[in-house]
Amino acid sequence: MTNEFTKDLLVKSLEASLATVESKFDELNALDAATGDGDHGTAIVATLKAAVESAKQPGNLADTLSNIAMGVMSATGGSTSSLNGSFYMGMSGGVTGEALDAASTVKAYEAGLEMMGTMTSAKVGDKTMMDAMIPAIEAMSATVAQNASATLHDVFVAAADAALEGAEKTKEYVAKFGRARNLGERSRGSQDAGATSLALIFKAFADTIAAN
Amino acid sequence: MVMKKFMNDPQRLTNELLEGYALCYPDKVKLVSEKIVVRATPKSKDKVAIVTLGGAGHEPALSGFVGEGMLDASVVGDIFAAPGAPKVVEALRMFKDNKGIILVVLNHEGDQRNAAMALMMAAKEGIKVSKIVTAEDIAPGADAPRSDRRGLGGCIPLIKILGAAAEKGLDVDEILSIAERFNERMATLAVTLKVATHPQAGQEIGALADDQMEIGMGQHGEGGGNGPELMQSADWVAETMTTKLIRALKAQPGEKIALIVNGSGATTLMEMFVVFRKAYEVATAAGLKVVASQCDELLTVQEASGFQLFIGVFDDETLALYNAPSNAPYWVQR
Repeated sequence: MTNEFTKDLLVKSLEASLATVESKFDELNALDAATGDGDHGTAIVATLKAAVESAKQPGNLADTLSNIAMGVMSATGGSTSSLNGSFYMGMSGGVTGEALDAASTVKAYEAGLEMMGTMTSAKVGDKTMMDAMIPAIEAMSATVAQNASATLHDVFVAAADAALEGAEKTKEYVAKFGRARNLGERSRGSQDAGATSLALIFKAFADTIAAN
Repeated sequence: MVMKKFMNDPQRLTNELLEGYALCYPDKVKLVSEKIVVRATPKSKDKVAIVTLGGAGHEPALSGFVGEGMLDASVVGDIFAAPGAPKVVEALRMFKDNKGIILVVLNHEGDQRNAAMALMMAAKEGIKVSKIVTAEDIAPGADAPRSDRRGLGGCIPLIKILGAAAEKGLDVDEILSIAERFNERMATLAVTLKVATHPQAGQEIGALADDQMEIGMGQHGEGGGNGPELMQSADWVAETMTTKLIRALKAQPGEKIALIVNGSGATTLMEMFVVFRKAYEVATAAGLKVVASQCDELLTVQEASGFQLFIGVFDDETLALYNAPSNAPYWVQR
């Protein structure tokens, strides 16, 4: 099991994420159709395809993350384009080397979340992908804060668990953002597609770390 | 129900529709870089460029309004999805030497965010862009904040005014101050009888029973304020919606208005005229002067049936600009 976040690990993890969301393609589209326009599966597959392709281009880890940001935003549109782009752009700025330990990886993820915050004011409870993203990164931060010897795997398992829990909680929420917002009370009961796919992605990262 | 549409590869749908559109009106528009529609002959650099962005699947909006007197460029995303920021920046770069650039953004999450990212990226390159946001949907209630209102078909009459003002050679601030006056005084309300199918995902967006309609549904079939209700007559629907629009606009007797019935895709002109007749009667009874009107498809949502009813209140200047010439393929005015 690897304990370093490298470009190679990033590529493998993104490939695993792509495989997972492709296997849940119809399910994600159906979740989105309940409150939005039914294209989240399409959007997230396109996002990860672009991310994988960009990640394989030459360049160090920071450049690679920046390439992913531009690649993702070029290949996709809609409300997730600039959100995902801003995340990788922020991460790129937060990277401090080529092989990050658990604590440095968490710092890069925190920088990604910070940049995302400039693109959306969505918070936990607004029924968006941030319902998975915010608790996931908080769980990452808490893991390294509470245990100085926490491994990279510990960090991503904590993130995946928190993201999944956050995604499931979106069933209880009323949408405050995006097209679903206009449904008001009627958006309660369905799980947010963006939060769901993000939970799948964190899980794919954790599994890839375990397998390498 | 199985989706029936004339399509090839769903992933190439936007490319193919734009290719066809550009081939159909070669003297007016051309397609560059796959998803950017520009005028066949660019306007002179001493004028402000008007650019917009938005998803496809709403034809003729928004690319149908690229032309002299209206838009300089329309940056197209995929079906119902705003284009990514790098594509928007690519379009903005084409006009960096113009007198200025105004980006028209409809208030939807994706359009707003991608526009914000594009403006940030353009600023890094030293390209200055001003933004105007349309948010004229009154479904959330007359007192709802602008951030809660969607930008519906009202962007098109607004683009008409912006484009005409830019054509006169005015600078960015002058154009924006005129356009914001109209922007503040326009309102749209939509009604849906039957929802659209997402042409790529193949799924129906939203749901309405056979005997139901929904006033306030957005242009992607997303829900509106009050939820589905039983179908009513054309007169009832037209009267209800027109009354709400007039109230939201606080339109006063004697004011001059544009009254537009914009078909959603599957609603016939026959129905639009029947609706218009009553809407006109209600507006006139309220003392308003209908000085501009249309029953047409300006912004559609695939095979959704329903319409958007639009009222915009003019002053002398905005009315003159509204009536100024345009050669955009879907808004020809001499």
